[in-house]
Amino acid sequence: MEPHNSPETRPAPSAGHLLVRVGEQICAVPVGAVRRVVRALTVHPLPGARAELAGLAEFAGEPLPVLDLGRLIGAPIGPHPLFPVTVVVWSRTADGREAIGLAADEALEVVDLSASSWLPAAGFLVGEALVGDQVVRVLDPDQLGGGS
Amino acid sequence: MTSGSFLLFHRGGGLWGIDSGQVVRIGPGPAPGETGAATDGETLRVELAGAAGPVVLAADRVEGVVAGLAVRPLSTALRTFWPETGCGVALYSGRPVILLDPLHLPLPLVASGGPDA
Amino acid sequence: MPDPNFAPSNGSNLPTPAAPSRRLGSSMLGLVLLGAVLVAGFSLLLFAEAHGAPGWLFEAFLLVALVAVAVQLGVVVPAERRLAALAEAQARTRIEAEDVLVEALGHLSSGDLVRCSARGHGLPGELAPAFESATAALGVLAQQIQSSSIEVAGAASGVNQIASELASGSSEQAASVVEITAAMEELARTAFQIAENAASQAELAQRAEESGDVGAAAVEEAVAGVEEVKKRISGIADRADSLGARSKEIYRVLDLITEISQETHILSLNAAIEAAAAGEHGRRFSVVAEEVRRLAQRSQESVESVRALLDEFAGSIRATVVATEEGSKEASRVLERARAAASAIDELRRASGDTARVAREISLATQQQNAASDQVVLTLKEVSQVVQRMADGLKQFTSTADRLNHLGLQIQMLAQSFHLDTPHSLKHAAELWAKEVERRAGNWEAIDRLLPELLAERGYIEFLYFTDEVAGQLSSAANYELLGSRDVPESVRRGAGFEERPWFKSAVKAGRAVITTVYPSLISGEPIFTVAAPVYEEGRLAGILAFDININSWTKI
Repeated sequence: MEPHNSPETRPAPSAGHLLVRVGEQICAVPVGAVRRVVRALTVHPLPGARAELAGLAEFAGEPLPVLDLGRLIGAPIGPHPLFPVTVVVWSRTADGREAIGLAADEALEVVDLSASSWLPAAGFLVGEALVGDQVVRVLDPDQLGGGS
Repeated sequence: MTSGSFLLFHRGGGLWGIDSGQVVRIGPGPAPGETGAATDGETLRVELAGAAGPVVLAADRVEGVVAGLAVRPLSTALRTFWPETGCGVALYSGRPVILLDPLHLPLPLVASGGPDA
Repeated sequence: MPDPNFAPSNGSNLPTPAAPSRRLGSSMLGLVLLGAVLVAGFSLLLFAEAHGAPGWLFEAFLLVALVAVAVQLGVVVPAERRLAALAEAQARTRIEAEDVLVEALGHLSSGDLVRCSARGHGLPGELAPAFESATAALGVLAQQIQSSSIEVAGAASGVNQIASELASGSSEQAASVVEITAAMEELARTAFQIAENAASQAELAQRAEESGDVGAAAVEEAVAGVEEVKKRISGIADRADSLGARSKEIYRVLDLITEISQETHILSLNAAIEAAAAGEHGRRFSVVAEEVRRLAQRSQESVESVRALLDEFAGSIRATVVATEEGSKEASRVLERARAAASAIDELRRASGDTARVAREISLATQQQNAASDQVVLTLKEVSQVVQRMADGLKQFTSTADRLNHLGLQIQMLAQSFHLDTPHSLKHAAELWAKEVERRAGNWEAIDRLLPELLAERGYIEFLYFTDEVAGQLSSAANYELLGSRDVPESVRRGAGFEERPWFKSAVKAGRAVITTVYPSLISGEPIFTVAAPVYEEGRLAGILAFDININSWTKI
């Protein structure tokens, strides 16, 4: 496996990120990795799966594994979402790329995150950044499939 | 060896498929009071001619035997977050189906028999 | 009843007849008669001779005369003498028998059949058995009289008992008649009261009915007014409802707009993402996408403010609706009360009508009842009269029974006045017991022991006592079963003044058992009679033995 956080793969310092809210946390996903934002898909739970795997859904004629973003990052449960969304992201694997769905409470906006606000981390959470006075956690979807 | 047609059945909230060629017969579920590895909600039993002997799977409801499914391999994410294995995933009527590997059947689905039994 | 003070005959006194002078008289007369005949014969002979009668007549006559004289002197005179002696003896016997008879009859007249019979044995010849059978027959008669007197008493007491049972039964009847009458009168009084109450109820009901009409009219007006109010209130409520419905529509529109803006928002995001992927070419597109996103946001914000306004509006509508609802409820409550009042008035009317009807019915029923109870009272009065007559008859009955009882006692006393040799004769008992005392005369201790024994033999004797000839000493025995708890008074115990008592005096005087009339007892004060007998010691009066019998015990004799 290619090492994480290598200069080639790390997103550009001022690249656009999609901000999504999950619980009371806000995550940032690099727009390059986002395939589509859609209204929350119907997820069929998979018996025996780990808690982070919400289940399987159908997207664009394909089965889509959907991860519970809140569980994934350990966010406490926030207010009940009025319009939950599923963010379909591309996750790069050894064989190419696969689509993964992230179940979130709300899709906010696309912003540029400045480099000075990076904080290094490990796993699929590649850092934290400030947007205004709000701390957002930056995800790297490519790390989702590899597990943490 | 897949025959291209699968027996689809529901169990534990999920939709599963098994190569119909592997199925010996479908029988009734356990008698009341009988205990086994998987008995809650189980109404049917799918008997397979396992490579190492007969295996019986527990089923809540049988969908039917379906052919022409577009089988995809299990994605990395799926494999990461789901400990069991299968031979692939497919969609049936908008519903994701996990196609089981007869050699590596998920234990929660097995009523009796199997290579480890 | 023989006089107890009868003066007795004391022994037979044979009267001395003048027998010899009578004997002499009769033979003298014979001789004189013979002489007269001889003289007359001789004279006749002389006359005859003078008239030529044979001479031998004179010698014959002389011969006859001599013979006659001889016979007279030799035969007739002694015969006469013998006859005279015989007659004398016979007369003596007859006189003796007379004496005995007189004595016996004297006893008989005293009622003392025992002495009479005993004396009768002294009668000569066939007189004794004849006398004996006569006294025996008399004794039997007296005995029978005594027994029948007891039977009479028994019958009288039986009659008494029946009479008293009848009397108590009739008095019970009378009592229940009185009770029933009282109950009927009570019933009549109660019925009258009920009728009076019913009448006043009917009057009240009548008045209630009248006021009910007025009340009902007032209620109807009130009801009409309240219903008017209700209508107006419901008008308001309807408008509020329609407002509410309109705002619901607006909410739906808002929801729709929200949906659209959400979609638009997502669309804009996706557009921005595509634009980023497009790189430089996508920059203008991303600007547009951003504009769209902002638009969606603004429309969402407007939606929010409209929603807030609507909420406020809805709030005030709700408040209005609630107020009108409250008002409506209040109006309904008033209406309910009015209706309740109306129905209460109706009830009252109905009840009044009912009450009037009921009162009439009660009045009627009471009248009927009165008539019926009058009937009952009348009948009871008749019954009461019958019962009274019966009670009166019973009283007569009872008094007759009393008289019968009294008669029985009198007969018994009469029977007891006879001294008979039977256990039922009290005089006989007295005399036998007097003999017992006589045997112990002088031995007061023995007498003290004797008296209780004798008393025990006859349970009807109340008090048995023996006093000496001067009533100086007394021995007595009392039957406490009869006397009860009454004590023998000290004066009685001492025998003080006994010598003055009538039984004492008559016993001394009669020399035989006597029985007194009924007089009050010194011990119990109740009417008693006394039987007393004299006790003699060597022919001399030693004392008097007496016993008292309560007349209530007389039937036990």
